[in-house]
Amino acid sequence: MLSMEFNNVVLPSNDVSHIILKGDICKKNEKIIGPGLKIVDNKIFVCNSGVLKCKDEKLFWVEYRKKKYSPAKDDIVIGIVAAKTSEMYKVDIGASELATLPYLAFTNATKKNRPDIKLGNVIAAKIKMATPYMESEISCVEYANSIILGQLENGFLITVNLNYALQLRKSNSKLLYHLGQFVPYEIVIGANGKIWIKSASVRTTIAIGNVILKAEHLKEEDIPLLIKNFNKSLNV
Amino acid sequence: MNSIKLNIQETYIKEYLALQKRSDGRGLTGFRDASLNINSIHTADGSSVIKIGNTAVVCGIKAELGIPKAESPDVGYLLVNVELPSLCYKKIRPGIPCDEAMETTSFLNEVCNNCKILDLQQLCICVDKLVWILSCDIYCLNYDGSVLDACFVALLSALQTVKLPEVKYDKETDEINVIEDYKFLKLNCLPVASTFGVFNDKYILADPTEEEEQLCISKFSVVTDGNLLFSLHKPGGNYIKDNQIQNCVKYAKIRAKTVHELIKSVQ
Amino acid sequence: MNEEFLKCRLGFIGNSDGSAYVSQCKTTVAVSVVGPFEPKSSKCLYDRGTVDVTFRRKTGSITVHDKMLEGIMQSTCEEALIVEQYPRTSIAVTVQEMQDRGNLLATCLNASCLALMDSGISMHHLFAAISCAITDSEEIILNPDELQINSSVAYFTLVFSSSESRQLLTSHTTGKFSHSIYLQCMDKCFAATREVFSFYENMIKKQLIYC
Repeated sequence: MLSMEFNNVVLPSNDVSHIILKGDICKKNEKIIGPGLKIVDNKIFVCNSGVLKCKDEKLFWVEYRKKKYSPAKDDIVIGIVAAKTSEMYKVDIGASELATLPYLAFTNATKKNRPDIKLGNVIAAKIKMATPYMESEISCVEYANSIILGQLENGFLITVNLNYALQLRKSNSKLLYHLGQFVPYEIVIGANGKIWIKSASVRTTIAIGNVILKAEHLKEEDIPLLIKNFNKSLNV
Repeated sequence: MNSIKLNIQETYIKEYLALQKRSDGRGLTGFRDASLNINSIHTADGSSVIKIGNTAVVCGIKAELGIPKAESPDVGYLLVNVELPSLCYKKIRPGIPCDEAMETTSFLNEVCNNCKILDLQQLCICVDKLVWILSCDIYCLNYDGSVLDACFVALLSALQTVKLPEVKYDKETDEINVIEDYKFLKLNCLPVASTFGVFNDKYILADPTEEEEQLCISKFSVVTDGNLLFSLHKPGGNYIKDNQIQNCVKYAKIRAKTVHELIKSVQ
Repeated sequence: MNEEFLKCRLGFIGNSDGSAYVSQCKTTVAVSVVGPFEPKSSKCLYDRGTVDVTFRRKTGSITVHDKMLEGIMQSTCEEALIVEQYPRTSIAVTVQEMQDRGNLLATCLNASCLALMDSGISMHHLFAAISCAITDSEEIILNPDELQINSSVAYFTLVFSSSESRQLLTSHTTGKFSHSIYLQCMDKCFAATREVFSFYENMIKKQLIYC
């Protein structure tokens, strides 16, 4: 059997309560378990195959690869408007069903002043409510110091693996920083694996998209070479 | 909602099980009473009707003459077909055969071939020219759990009632002469199926009714002739413990003997 | 059992949510998992997800016997997944036979387990299927080849879960056998599943290194 430790591979049905609780049941209330773990009869079991991670001896989760997005509250997602009803838009955010976006859930929207978004338009939104039993609800209302939400125009949309999208969203992502040194561009990365890119010309936009897709399986040290090639292709 | 209804039933049945009793008065490992009637369909060459509790199944066998397969010229055919029509159970929709009917058909054919229930060579009349084809049609009249058990008893007792006449075949003229000298088929073994419902890791219910089948986490079928095992079939579902398997096999062997007596008693 | 015996590629279909291409000896199957997605309203259950397994032969059409194999795969997969976590959705598993040289059911089950792992759908436990054949002289052969299956007196496919205690999930048998030999086979097959699970673990390790 595999040895169960942090940063090691765990498989579903592995009992990890002994390493998470480490004997001190009294401190149980201070521990928080995240995705990939579940509690059955006071024992903690793994339910996704991946790597067991731990932060500050307090937060525990399993990191695993996933392609299908399941909505979580306060995630920023990118979606495509798929249908319109009298009250709301239905937006495809890549989850198991369409999310609802009420007409009033836009900044400065009123009953008279409706947002003008057509079918097929791309929007960035925040998830307001997510439960598996109901359609999730998203909103484009911006608050102070939140990122800009609403319709995204004149850009290009690519879809990547969920894990890769999360990796890119980390502030220390080298790839996006290096790209920015060659060409100015705008990028929105949704937690649902959809990435929207916009730059000065269509040519550069597509080139940036390709670089991001190619870099998924590359190691960190290979990225400068990739960007060099990218720069060459721009100047041809 | 479905789950709420199941939940209420489950708490109800759990209280019964704690007293080692079931809602119809049986003990945990008790099988339902069976009654058997043979030769009830006069137009068929062999037939039987079995009732186990409320589950009722009718089996009819038609014998026809046909040409054997080229790769096996000296054996006849035994074709079993199970039908679960929509009249027998509310959850079966009319139209194409449901998955369960197909699974049961396939399982019966597989067991019949494996344990060589019938020496198929005795169905041969003339090598490469003429053999008997026995088409066994099993029709479920009322679905109340453990249909597989009933199908096996129906098939066995119906096969034992089949009388085939002697046929003379002339190779040169292709002439077929039927001589009115009827003979019974010879069966090699009598496989009996016993279905068990695994309620949880504590309780095993023998011969579950339809209601109990819905509540059980998995089904387990043992096919035996009282001595050898022909199949231990568990199509997925939740796990079963080793000692539960042993108990099931033990009860199935006892059940096989009582069913054999039942079949003997009607002949 | 060694590296030669089981081979697998995860995620070989770009557009599905999880996929596995598994070859076990000379038998090869491809499995893709799609979902959870919104099903037709007639198939929708309000408190749990549904699992749909479709089995396809090389020729496209399937027989009554294949329908039974499909049923076995369906209930085995459904039990392994935490369906309560995905209410009102459906998960579609498509199993495509590429080449059949014996042990088809075991390969299909192992491949569907790998594909479900790849899809990231929450699971109660993993499962591993092992086939074995019994010869005339009561010898037990694990993972027999086609010839050995045809000449055997009995042939079993047993599925165990990855829990620490021994849990038999599925049993499919053909032929005549005694109870004692069945118990012997269970012991041997259970021991063999441990190697399959360590293979699963290695696959996940390899997969996570790449990303």
